[in-house]
Amino acid sequence: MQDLLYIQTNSTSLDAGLLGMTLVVDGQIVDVAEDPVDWPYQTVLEAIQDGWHVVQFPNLALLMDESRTYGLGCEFILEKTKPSG
Amino acid sequence: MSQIASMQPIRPANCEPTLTDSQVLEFCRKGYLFFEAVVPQEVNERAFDFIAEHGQNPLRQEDWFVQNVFLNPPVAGAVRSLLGSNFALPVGVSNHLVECPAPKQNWHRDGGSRYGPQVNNLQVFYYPQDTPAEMGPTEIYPGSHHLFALQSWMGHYDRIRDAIRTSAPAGSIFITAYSIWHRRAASTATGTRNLLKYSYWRTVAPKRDWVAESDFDFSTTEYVPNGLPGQQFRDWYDAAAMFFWLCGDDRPLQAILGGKGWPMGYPPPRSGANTFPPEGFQRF
Repeated sequence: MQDLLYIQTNSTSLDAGLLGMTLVVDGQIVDVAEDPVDWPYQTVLEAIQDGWHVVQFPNLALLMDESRTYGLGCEFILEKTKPSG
Repeated sequence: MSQIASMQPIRPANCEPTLTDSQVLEFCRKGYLFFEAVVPQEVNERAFDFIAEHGQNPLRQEDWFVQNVFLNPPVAGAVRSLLGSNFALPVGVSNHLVECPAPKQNWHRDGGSRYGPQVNNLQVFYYPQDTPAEMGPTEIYPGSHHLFALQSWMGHYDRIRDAIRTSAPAGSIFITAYSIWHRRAASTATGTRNLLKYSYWRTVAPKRDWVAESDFDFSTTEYVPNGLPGQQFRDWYDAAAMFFWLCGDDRPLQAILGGKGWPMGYPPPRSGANTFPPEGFQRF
């Protein structure tokens, strides 16, 4: 089973502040706390320290237009895998 | 040449503008304005019952609805401030009805969103019934009307810092920039939630004919005091560009910037080492 953690940050730095988060555990989208103080991680680095593996770094090809802000910051996608069943 | 048979005539309306410079700028920053419980309760109840019997769209032709909701004084005054005189009344009403409990929606901005400083229409949300958190009110992301995003590429976003839930009593109305990011929150209560949406639009060129503040200083006002999502300096610039577009004259903004060139630089108020542009500065 693959768990997923989408993290949106305000820069590509691994210790940048978080703008958003989506968590998928055991095949279900899990409700992350409304208050960011209660989010399970405050940086990408904290997630890595907790065993998450980065599977996609922010795609810089999408961020090359200074004249326009695209989407919600820089997105990291991380995963944890565990045996099914 | 044949005409489109179903085209509706524009229904212009007018009233006195009520927003001040600061309130117009607040709309430019956040992309919404909130009017709590401004519609009388008997009108809310009548709307609720009317929808159950006739659907929501005929409401646009009902005088009692037009007068109390479309032309609700504080709301219409704000619409007049942002869209100018002879603003056009909505020609359609949609109902984002949901049977609660229901899961949350994906974040999205509505189809047809355009990005830039122009404010040619306003998307409005009206709750004809109490809509606490348990009834799945709309969540909105303040400032996101400046964030370009394709709707189909937003579906994986979930919790967003600084997003707000528009829990509100019956009769509350939100005026929003069309491109603002939003979604229906999850509901846990049982019952029917009605949320009416409709749009006003502009019929005249923009100009600063709202309530001018005598002490509102273009060059020193803080366009975005607390920051908004986006690239450095784009937050204040996007809000300021929208404000001056609404003024119908962006020369004060060009004076702040030192011309039409990029970059937009530090936000006002600038002082000391941050003073820019220097006297006599010119871009080529």
